[in-house]
Amino acid sequence: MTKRIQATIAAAFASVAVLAFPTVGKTEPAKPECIAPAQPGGGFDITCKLAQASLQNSGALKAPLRVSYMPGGIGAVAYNSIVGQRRAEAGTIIAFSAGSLLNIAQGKFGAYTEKDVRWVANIGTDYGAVVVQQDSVHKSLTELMAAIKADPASVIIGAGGTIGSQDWMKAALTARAAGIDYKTMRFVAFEGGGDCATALQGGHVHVCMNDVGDSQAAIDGGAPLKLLAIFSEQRLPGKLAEVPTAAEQGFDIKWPIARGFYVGPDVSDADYKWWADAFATTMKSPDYAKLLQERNLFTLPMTAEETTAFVHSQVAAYKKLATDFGLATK
Amino acid sequence: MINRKAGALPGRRLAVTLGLWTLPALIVGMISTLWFSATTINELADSAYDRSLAGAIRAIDSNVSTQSGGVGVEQPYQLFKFFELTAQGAVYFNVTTDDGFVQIGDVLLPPPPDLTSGEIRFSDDTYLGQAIRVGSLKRPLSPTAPEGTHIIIQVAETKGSRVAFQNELIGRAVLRDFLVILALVLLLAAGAYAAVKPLNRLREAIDKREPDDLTPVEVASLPLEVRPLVEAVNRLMQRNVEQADQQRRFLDDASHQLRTPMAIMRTQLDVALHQQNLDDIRQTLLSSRNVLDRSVRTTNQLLALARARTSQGYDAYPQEQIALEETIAETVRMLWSRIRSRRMDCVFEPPDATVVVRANEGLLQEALVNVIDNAIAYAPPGSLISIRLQIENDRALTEIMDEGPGMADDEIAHAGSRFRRGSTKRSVDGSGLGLAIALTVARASGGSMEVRNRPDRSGLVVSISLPVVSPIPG
Repeated sequence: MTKRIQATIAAAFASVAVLAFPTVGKTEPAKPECIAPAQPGGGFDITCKLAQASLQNSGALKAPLRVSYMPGGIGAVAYNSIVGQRRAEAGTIIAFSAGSLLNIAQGKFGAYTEKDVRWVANIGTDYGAVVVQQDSVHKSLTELMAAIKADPASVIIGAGGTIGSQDWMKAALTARAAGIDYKTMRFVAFEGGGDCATALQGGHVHVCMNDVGDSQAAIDGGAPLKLLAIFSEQRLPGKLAEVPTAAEQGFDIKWPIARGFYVGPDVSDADYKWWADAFATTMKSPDYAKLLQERNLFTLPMTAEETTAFVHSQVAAYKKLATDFGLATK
Repeated sequence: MINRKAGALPGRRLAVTLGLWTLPALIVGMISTLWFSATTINELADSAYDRSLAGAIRAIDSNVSTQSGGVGVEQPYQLFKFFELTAQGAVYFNVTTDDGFVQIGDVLLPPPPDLTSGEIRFSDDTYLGQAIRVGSLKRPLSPTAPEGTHIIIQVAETKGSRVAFQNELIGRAVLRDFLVILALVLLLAAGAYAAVKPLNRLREAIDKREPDDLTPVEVASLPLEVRPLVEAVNRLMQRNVEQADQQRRFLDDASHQLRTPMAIMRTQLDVALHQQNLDDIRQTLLSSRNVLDRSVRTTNQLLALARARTSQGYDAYPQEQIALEETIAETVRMLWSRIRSRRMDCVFEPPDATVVVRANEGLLQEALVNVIDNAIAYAPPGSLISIRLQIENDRALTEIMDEGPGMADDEIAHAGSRFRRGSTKRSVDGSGLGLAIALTVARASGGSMEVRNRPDRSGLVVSISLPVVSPIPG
């Protein structure tokens, strides 16, 4: 055989190989967009911006990922919008968190359940935190709870979500642990952690039930706030090690907040797989840990089926929790 | 007799009566105007305060953005800072969508009442143990989808300063009304006092009078309402005066009536003393006796009249049940010689049954004698006097008719007034007391007397009507 025939056969094999492995070199969806279903500055915003930075950093996504906002009901409005009108948008990923799952468990996302979208990936985890003003009179979570117990109406608790949301749940769990009737809490709802932090700075609320991610970002940005407690098992690494956990202060409550993305239910399998693989690759990249750390988030990498299973089990667990607190469930 | 009609309580002060009539009405009026004022004040204050609530609602509304496809609500705290400057209380807000997705703010605010799209409604409720006033607005989230999702915006403020304002206004209204009532009461009292002052002056003027001063009381300066009373008293006094006048005249006439015959007798005695002839003296004495007879008659009549008058008031001349027809018959018998002396006739037809009346027999006889005597005197000689006794209903009617000239109409009107004599008979002896006596006696027995001319011929009819009494058996 001549060398030319060998080259041609090699080329044929190569192209067959390329054709046999379609994932390699599959084009990314057009017009990539990350919807943060909240006001800017909150946890969803950070999630989308993390995706934006990490996907670009790892090279998985060539085009810049646009971040847009669609506030309303901790993702309820966005969920309904996607499932209702934007079912097959391949380029649109929407951020979700444990809070969204808690709301789904209570049927607060309208007619739709966790089975109505395609869960793509978890990119990290956050933890719940109690945030007060830097010069607040409450120096510890214990003091704060004592103040609430003495006069519930005197402490205004803000949360990025209404009654039954994860922020409210953190407050209710803590109150229950302190022996306070959580129904007497004086509670103001906000559309996301960012709004709550603004109100906290303005002195319109006394404490915010937020997440480590967005609160620390605000503190790093110069806001005169401080963290009273973190709802984690152990103290977090890095500069967050200064903040005691709730358990240390006598409130054995842990509230990790998984953060991830989903896409519309009618997105094609190929596009869904593309996103899952893109995230898998990104989360394996060496810089990813640094990007997480910058945003005060922690690793919890999952994609595709793992994520879907995680979501389903979380929703079931939250349903039980909601019933515990006398909240309606779906 | 004290008249107890119409619930008049004796001797209450006029001011008290005025007060009892006006004060309850004034107080009821004040309370009802206060109630209306309070309602109006509350509504007006509410509408004034509600306007700022409405402004806050519209401001939040204008900061709701759906551009992103979601529902973005700008925090209203900056806005509330200005609102709270005027509100002096706490302000709460709540923004929800009716699909339940969005709940921002004081989500525990009480749910709004039924809302019409686009309309702001105000209601009262409680939150955190305080009374609040809530303004609620509901409108379609997207103007292109009016039947789609609606957003509900609520702003609530505590009612403290509003209620304080309303209470201050109401307090002022109460004070004002109270002062008005006080002023009215004082004016009423002053007015009553001023109205009654002329009466006090009147009382003083009357107290100063001489006991026999019966001149009419001056009415010109008195209140119009009191004048009728005072004029009635004046008329009473006038009647008293007239009666006194009458009695004076009576005394006058009586003494005149007695003096004349006495003067005549004196003259006749003088003449007799100067007469030589026994026969002349006898004639003179005889005529004196006639004059004396007349005086005696007059005196008797005066006495009868006086007695009859007194018997009207007391029982000094006792009345008893008498048979009227017997009395009449006896009277005729008594006067028979006089009747015959003038060649007249008298017929009396008694009824079948006895007629019983209650009267003093002596006085009744005197009255009948007087009337029949008048008939004898005034009718021409040879004429007929008819006496009739009838029972009509429960009255006994005695009619004495003569054939004399009768009386002129104006004399009939005055029949019974003492000493009025018929103008026709100047030449006849008589003192004019006859009819007066008959009238007085009839009245004393509860009856009446009437004088009229005969319809069939010339003559007078004197009818005396007396109430019939059922006779006591036995």
